[in-house]
Amino acid sequence: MKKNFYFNALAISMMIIVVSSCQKEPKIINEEELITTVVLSVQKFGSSTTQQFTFNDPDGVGGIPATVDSIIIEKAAQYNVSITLLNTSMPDIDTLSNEVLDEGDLHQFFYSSTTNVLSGFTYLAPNDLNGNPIGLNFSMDTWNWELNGLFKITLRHAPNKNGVGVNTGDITNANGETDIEVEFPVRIY
Amino acid sequence: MLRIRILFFLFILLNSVQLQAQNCNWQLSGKVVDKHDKSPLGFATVYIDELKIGVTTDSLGNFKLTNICTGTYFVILEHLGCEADTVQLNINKNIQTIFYLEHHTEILDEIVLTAKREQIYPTQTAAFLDKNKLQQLEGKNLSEILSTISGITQLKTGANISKPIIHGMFGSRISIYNDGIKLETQDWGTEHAPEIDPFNASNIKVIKGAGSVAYGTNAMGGMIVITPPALKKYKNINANFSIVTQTNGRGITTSARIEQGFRKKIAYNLQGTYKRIGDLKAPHYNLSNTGLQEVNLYTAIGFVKNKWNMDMSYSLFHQELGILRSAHIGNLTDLKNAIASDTPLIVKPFTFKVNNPKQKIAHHNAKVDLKKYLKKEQKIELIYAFQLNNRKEFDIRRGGRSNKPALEMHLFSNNLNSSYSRKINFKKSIIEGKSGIAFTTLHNANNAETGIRSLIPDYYQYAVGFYEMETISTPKIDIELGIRYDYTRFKAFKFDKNNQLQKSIYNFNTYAFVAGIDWDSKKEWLKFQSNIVFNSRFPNANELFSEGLHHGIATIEFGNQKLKQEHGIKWVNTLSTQYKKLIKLELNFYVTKIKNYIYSAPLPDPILTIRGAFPAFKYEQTNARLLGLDFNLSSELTSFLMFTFQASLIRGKNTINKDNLIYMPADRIHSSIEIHHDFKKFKRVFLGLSLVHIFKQNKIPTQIIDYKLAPVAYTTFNINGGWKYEINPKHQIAFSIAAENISNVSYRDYLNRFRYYADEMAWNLTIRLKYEFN
Repeated sequence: MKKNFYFNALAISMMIIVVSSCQKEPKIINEEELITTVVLSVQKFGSSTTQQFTFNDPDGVGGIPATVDSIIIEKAAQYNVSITLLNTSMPDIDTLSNEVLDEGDLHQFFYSSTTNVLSGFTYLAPNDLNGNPIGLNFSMDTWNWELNGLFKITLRHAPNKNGVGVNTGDITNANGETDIEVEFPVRIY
Repeated sequence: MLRIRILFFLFILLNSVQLQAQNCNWQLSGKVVDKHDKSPLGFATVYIDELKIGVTTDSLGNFKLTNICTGTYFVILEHLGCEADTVQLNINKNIQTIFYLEHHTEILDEIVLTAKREQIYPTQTAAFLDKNKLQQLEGKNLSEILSTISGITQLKTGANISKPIIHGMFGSRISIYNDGIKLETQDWGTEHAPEIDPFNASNIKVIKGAGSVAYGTNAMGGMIVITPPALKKYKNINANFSIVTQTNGRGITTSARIEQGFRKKIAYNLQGTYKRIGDLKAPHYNLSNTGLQEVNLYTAIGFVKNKWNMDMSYSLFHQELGILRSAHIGNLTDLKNAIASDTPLIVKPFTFKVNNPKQKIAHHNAKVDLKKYLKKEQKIELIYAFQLNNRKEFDIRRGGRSNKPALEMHLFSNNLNSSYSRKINFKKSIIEGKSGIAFTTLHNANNAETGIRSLIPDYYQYAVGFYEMETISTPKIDIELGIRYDYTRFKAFKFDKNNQLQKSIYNFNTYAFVAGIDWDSKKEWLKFQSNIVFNSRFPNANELFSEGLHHGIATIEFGNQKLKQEHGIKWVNTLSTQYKKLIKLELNFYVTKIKNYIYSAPLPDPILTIRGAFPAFKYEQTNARLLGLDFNLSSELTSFLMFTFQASLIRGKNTINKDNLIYMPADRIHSSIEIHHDFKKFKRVFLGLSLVHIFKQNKIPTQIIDYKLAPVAYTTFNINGGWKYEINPKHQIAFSIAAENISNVSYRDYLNRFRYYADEMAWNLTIRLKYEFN
């Protein structure tokens, strides 16, 4: 029993040494890859003014709910749209659309809207190194009358760009993983 | 005492009985005594190696073994504090004899030899996988090996990651002990397999009750105890070399071991395993990126001197494994597309190369075990172990970040256990006791360079536990009692959404109380065991703090910092009966009730993210009840024909919401028929056919959405055969061949979380060759 006591005493003292070793506080992990913000710069064909509409979720999954602007544009018009992706969670705001551009062959945007509201989506330059569309810039037409609806933008990572119809913006055979899928309310006046 | 061994043997018999076609009604009885003072040796083990049957002597040294067939056998005799002895006996009549054993307290490591099949928990319902059984399953991973036991199933993530489920419970509700130490790993998700190399196990035991209080309080579902070969500190040498090849995945596994002991009471043990498997295949397509590479090492050295025994060991488990490429999805739309497609969306030609997404895991374990044997079979023991678990998960990333882990954590743990065991003989009964103190520290550290917010925060955990256990063994009844209390301090460092560091401190008080009884009819034809445990488990880091998107299953999961401890009761009963060798039955029924059962409950509204809307879950508490039944039957219709049948049922209920629990194993049956015979040099020549039928899981939760219905029932057929060739008594070669899923049926399993994406493995032919020298 005496030996047992020594054993335990030894055990306890060893553990105290271990426990009392210092506790390190962790470092902040910067979410380099997180896309927090989608900015649509919308310009009516022939006009020089640009409107901006934003989907914003600065703290990522969970936390404060995402906010989204309504796209309010004119009827019976053609618009050029340019997409900018930002990461506002970093100390310096990072433009992630540049990464998408750099890896253009691994990315492609797709667009869709509720029937009639928006149509005629056409990819604009720049294309990827194989000459396939990326879709950071595109043009679209608005409906001839006042109408409300939804506009959806999808960004696929590693899509099958050679799939049937993918080149012209049909997502059906694109596969790949979804990096972005956001819906903007649209009002045409 | 140790009548539980009969149950183990029953189990072993299911798998490896071999008999001569002769009279099988002989009995071997007698007494085991000390060579010098002729005093009877109670609780010695008398074990017939060839038959894998054995008994423990009563307190007066008496034993009796029945139903032995005519033949020549090696009888192994063991006793605490004695050198093990082997006697060759020709049995062709009823034999009554006296065995003498040399009393050598310093050679006490012998106790561990046959592990004594764990004398300390005689009343636990347990299953035992011995060397022979493990040999038949070489090359498989731990969970696959364990799932051959009734009541044990696997929770899988794809074809190559699986974790064991005991009676419907997994993860932190069960515990794994390797080499006497709790395996401290990053067991937070389901996509995590235990870091164990089964080649290094001399035996594996699954305790289906709550197990021993010596190990901790959290194991509500049960525990898995893996024992590496003991360091035999007398003159001996042992070596073996195994090679296993499999057609599916074109895999190869090799393992080698050398063990040596010297007269100077020193022994060492060296073992290594290398495993490489390429992409696995389902019947109609490749399961792209399911390859695996593994390098494992184990080394141990031990000394014994003047009643002191010291063993030291170090082990490394190193694994790199691929995650099914088509299970890598971005959002719910992708998941629905994947489900709508009958075949995985990405199927590539076979390759050995493991690409992203993948996991790289390294687990180090260093241990020192110091024992001192005192007078009157008392013992004190001090074990210190250090473990480091390094887990890296690689994802498919943008901007050239794919070579950077998406998650990397180091888990450092220190365990220090000190215990005192004693044994008192009182009239015809024996009282054994053990008391101990256990200290544990854990530190989880994230790599901050991953560029992805960590799922589990950094934390420190300190625990101290005290336990006391007693077993009282009388000729007919064994009683077991155990009690344990643990205090745990848990301190987490978590950055909130504004990158402010939040420190949370928790103090947990957990307990375990175990009581069990084992009753044996005199004629050994009826046995009954009953074991009840009350214990508690504190929520783990994942349940408290996790926050994020689970890609593979397209859900967002939130931890809950308000979770309280779970309080559980598990009651397990085993009834077994036998009529000679003609029929043996074992019935195992259990009920588990858990108050404050922690589960992932759906939130009413989906969460909108930039990837679209996701269903969200948060850890909540409810009350749960699990009821189950395991049934085992084995029969030897003639001396060369063996038939077995196993069935398992389980029902899990959320008793507050009146709903089924998720991930409950479906009902299943397993049946086999085997013929075997011993020829002159070719021993244990066998050929067997088995079938496994898994029913459809109809008892799925109704309040938790699942994107895909539970898969339909399926049946797989397997054939195996082999022999053991004795070149001479020192050299042996074992050969076996096993064909799994011979009808090449396509099926999916409810307990595979990748059942959304792909079928299970196609047929597979495994060839095993083992050379043994001793």
